[in-house]
Amino acid sequence: MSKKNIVLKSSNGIIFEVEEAVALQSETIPYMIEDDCANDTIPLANVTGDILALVIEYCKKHVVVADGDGGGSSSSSQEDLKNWDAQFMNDLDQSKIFNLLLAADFLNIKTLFDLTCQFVADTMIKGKSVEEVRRTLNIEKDYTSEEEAKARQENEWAFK
Amino acid sequence: MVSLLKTRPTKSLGHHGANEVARTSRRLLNDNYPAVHEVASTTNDNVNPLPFGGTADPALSIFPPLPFAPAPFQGNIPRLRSPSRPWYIVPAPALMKRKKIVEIPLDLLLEILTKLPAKSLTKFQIVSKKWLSIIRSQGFIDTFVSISSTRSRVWVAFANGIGSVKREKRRLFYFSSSHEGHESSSLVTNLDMTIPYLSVTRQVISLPILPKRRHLIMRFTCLCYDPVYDQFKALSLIASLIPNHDRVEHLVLTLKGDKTKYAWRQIQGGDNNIPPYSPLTMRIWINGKVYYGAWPPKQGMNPVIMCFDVRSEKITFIRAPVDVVDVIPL
Repeated sequence: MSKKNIVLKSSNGIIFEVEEAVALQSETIPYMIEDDCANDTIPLANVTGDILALVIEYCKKHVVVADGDGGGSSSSSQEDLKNWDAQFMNDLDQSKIFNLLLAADFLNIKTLFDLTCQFVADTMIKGKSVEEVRRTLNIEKDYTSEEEAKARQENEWAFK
Repeated sequence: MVSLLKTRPTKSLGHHGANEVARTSRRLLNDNYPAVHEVASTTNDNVNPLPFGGTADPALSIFPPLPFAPAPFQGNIPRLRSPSRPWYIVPAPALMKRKKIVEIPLDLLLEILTKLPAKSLTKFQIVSKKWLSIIRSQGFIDTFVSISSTRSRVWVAFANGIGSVKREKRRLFYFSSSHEGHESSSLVTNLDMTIPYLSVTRQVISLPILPKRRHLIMRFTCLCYDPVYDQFKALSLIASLIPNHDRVEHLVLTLKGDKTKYAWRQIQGGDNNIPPYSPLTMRIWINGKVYYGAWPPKQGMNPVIMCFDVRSEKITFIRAPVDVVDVIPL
């Protein structure tokens, strides 16, 4: 298979040229190619350049490993990849993570989407207090204090 | 695609420049102006949306702040405009970025919440009413259960001391736990039972007190699940302990809706001509039916296996060979 490059353009006009195999980890991009909504470049109106760079970094890493091990089945490479993923997510701030989540959803990259969802669940929600979750996710408290106290009492076991 | 960044003229603004621009805007927008409400307030990390060297910070605006915040347009403060153009043209995606924190769309929030353990979900029901309605919704529970059922799970149910514990303190416990290790479990359960609803929400439900009877009776209550209508019911048997008084009452309660209105309903044996019997064994729930062994009153008769269909609430039975129904402590 000849190596074909695909040109992606972020919402703010930054151009990325990537190998086809890298881009095709997104299930959205093939449709965009098919639908001919792109001549040479594929415009990604929902993804900014900095986020697209992260997405491409992720896809590149994952495509390399899949190639190198004939499907990436060896356990050590799986382990490496897991560590890499963890490191990759850890380096991001919250706004980047949320935007990455939106981008992974829009581009339909299943593994990245699951990774970000799991990361948000593990680091921003699980193990946090209710107040912390509200603050992190910018959620307004719409319970009255009485309602909240009652709900807390009913589910007391979950707060221990 | 471009979006227009507009400002809203305010009569009380009392500033010539602003009114001037407002008039221009109105003309340019061809009288549609009052209908246009959204005001994009955004900057982008990479793009300066204010191509005329202005600043998006309202505090630095050349216009004095509004004397009041117009109610439906909170946070909408006149921005610096270029003298030559009444509004800015900003790429649409940039408009979505200003909010300090991106709000997670509902479908993504659902995905994230399914990644949490049940205990966290119970706790975070009180984050907001939206979260409560998501976590309690049957759709979410189904998704959650289908995801967690890909991990192996162990289901255990037990009651605390029968007979010796005061009624108010009696509890029927249902536990489920995901089993992530690879070592095989030696636990064998006779409870082929999945309880999606309770397993996620872990509510404590108090069942109403069973009707009193004058004579000596035994009561047996069990919880059962109807997978077709996806609801839980409690089945209670009231069996007389007086010889030759072998009528068994069957009471059913559906665990749905307002907890305070739960009430036991008597059900009849139907057309199946259920003989009087004494319940004998533990009750086992399999695929929407509860089975238990029982003895008919007359000696020498074979035991029976009773079957309560949770959905239709019909009771049927088959005769069983003597050896089949072991007396298992209730």
